[in-house]
Amino acid sequence: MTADFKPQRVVIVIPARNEEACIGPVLKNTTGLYPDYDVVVIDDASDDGTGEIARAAGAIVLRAPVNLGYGGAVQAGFKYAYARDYDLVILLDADGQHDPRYVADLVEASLEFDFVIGSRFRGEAHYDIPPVRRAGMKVFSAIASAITGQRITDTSSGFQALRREVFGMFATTHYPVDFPDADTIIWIARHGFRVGEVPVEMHQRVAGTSMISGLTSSLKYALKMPLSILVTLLRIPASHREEEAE
Amino acid sequence: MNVQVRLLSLIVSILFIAYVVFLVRNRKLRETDSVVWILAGLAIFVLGVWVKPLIWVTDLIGAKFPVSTLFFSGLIFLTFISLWMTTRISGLTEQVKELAQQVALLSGEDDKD
Repeated sequence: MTADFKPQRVVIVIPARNEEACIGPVLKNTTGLYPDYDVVVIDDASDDGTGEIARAAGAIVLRAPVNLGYGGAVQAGFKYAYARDYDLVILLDADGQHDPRYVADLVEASLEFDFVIGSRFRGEAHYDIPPVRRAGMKVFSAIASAITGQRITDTSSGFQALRREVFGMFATTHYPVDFPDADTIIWIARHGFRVGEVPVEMHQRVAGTSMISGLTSSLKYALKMPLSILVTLLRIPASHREEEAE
Repeated sequence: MNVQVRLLSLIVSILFIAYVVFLVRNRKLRETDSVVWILAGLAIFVLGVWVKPLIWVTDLIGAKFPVSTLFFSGLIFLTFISLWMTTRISGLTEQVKELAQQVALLSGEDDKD
């Protein structure tokens, strides 16, 4: 669409729930590397000092009064970015899994793509994932690749860059409340947005617990995602992109 | 249907309607939400007094006893009611999420500028 797209206003959105052990270093690394980018932390009704630590580290903190869930928190970030006229949102995890050094790569790729995934499977993976989960990730990546017609290797990566047209769509319409995954990527692709991937390195989380941990949530994930993909295929994409372009 | 069953359904429906009215009066149940329950209570009452339609439906669907028809329709009614309730919960959940997000956005107003 626009070869001359250059993000002027970039915001790094970090959803965080009870991440007081990790959020400090994450913010320090991020703001150290990217002093020009605004950083917004969505404190998803944490019981610990996540919000205070983030605010002390210089981030803008949006505090949810009740638990929104990962997707709900991310959508709050999109709404913020949309209302404040940002061009580009970088999604980054609060738990230190995403290395902020790769934010630059995502921004770079956003010149070419409307939506960029930071993939841990594109580069050299030093990432230890339980075999069952890895298999699940592979299956959903294969489904997403088949439906979108392009190679997608890491649908469950929360390390993403979204241009205004894309996060604006999620800010004003629907965004999954629990774990956005292959369904969201398919939805983006079905609107005609260009989806790209860049290799990133992810670290094992330092403290706290993962969103998808334990048998129940793994099962829930495995059952919910195919259904969600199916429903995504049944929905009719709005011509949101044309509206934005006008 | 024998007299006992008809009498029982009359008593139950009267008590049921009375309880629904009591809930509305004490503002535990909104008027709009009570309509479907009052209609259900009235339906049971009417079928207790006037059994002809029930027998007609029983013949139509090939059931053996009118009571079976009553149970069957009651089950269908409850299934749809609970599905409808679930859509209400989905709607409310969406509203709560929307409100919580708006509160979160407002809480960030002081941080910037």
